[in-house]
Amino acid sequence: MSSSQYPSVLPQELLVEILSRVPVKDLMRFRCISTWWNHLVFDPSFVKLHLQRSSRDTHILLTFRDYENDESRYCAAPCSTQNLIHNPSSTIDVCHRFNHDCTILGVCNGLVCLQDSYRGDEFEEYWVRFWNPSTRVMSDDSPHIRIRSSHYKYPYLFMFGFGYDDWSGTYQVVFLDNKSQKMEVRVYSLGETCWRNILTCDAFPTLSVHGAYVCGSVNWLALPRSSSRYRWETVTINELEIFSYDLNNERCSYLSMPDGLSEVPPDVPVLEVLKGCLCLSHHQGTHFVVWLMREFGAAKSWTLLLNVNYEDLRIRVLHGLPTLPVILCWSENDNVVLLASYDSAEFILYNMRDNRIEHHELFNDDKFYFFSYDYVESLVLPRLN
Amino acid sequence: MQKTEGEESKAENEEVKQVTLMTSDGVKMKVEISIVYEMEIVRSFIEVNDADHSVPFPLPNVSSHTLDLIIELVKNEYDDEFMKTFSHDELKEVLVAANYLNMKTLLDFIATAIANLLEKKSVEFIRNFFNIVNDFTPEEEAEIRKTNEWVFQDLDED
Repeated sequence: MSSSQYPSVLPQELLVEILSRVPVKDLMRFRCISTWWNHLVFDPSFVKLHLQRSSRDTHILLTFRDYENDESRYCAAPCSTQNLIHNPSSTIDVCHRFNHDCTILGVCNGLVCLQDSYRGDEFEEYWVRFWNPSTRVMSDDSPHIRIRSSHYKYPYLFMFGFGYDDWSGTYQVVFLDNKSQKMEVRVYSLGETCWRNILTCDAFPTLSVHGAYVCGSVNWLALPRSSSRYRWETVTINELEIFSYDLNNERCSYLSMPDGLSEVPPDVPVLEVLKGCLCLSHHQGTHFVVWLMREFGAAKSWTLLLNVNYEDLRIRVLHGLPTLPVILCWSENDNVVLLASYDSAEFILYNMRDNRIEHHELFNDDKFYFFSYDYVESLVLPRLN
Repeated sequence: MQKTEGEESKAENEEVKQVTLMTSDGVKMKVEISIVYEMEIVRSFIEVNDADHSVPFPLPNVSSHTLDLIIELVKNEYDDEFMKTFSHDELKEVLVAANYLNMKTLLDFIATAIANLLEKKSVEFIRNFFNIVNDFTPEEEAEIRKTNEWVFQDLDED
């Protein structure tokens, strides 16, 4: 560096400093600037740097069923949480449509794991694909899992989950082959050619089908100490736990429910992910209750996020309990949660500081079964580079 | 940290709260020590050398104009409005200088500002902005454009 003149071309390390702060859509366009730019955009270390610099918790991936001409489509739409909170129904414009049998297993670093299936009389087949909505790149199908339907008897059903192992840098799909005696854990890593058998452990009644991914682990609600003659009505609070599979050390463990959860809810709770934390929601009397595990694995960190009467949410309880509302997003700064209620077919923006509804809005025509996933726009490739 | 041109560089006494910097175009500039402390390359030298204060610290890669802009940016606590008055060349000069001086906050600020400027801009704008020679064949470039047509919509005018 002896010249006092500004160099006519910036050094590559400074271009990387700039480009790692540019949105994905623009970078996809900049691929045709030159061969170096084209290679940079999907270079693994650049993808990682770009992801590190991307702000978290600004977007979610919203999914729903769209009924059109008596046909149901599975839809997914990345949304800015700010737009969604202020204008739920008009925010959903760019959406991707999939066939009816498709479903999302999970979303990690902006990479979506889609599951597809084929159901025959005797056999069912399941397979996954990986999809990045920001780059619109889709992988090929994974190897299929073929199962004999008669091998699974309620309450023992198989389960899936999707997560990322930071240590090995691999995206993994977990299949819990949950038969009445033993459960086999099988894993498919993005880019591999087969599902690997990892371990065998005790089976447990299936309470949630899709695992919730947090901090390198995929989690399902579980009743590890329940007998095979399981009925939800007879479950005791001590039986209810979270089965947690650690992708890195390939081990299973159990996490406790919140201390404050003193009695078994009338219906099976829902375990999902909210802002990178495990989130448990359930009915309690006439209330909708939501817990957040602030620090993964630490039972003491369960925090009550919401405890609100259905009347205050203007969800009318006519026959028994309403369908559990779905938490679409939570803005800590604004102290609001956006809920989707199926009984009233509307979005509810609830202010948690003042305990009041700020806004409610009916669902768009023909759109139903909303759900949301933590999402970040990323360059992560759905295949090995 | 490398010493430039093997010269015995010295800093002003801290009591004065100013350090003299010598820019590439030979201008001696007295700069407040709080600003100089953001320049890791100068700070690390000042901290280990308790030496003669009379000789200015040489910055052979930073012009007086660029140093002026940097001082104003730091004084204004990285004001977006002030930075918007910069020309494209000034933005790039400040980026290169921030990197050379090892000013982490400034580097982050200016890289983010340039990144924001590039949003919704055409490929041609970017090539001009960075002086980049297109080394694709027309067929190769057309191929990438064709497979990603959706990213070429709703762009700003150049």
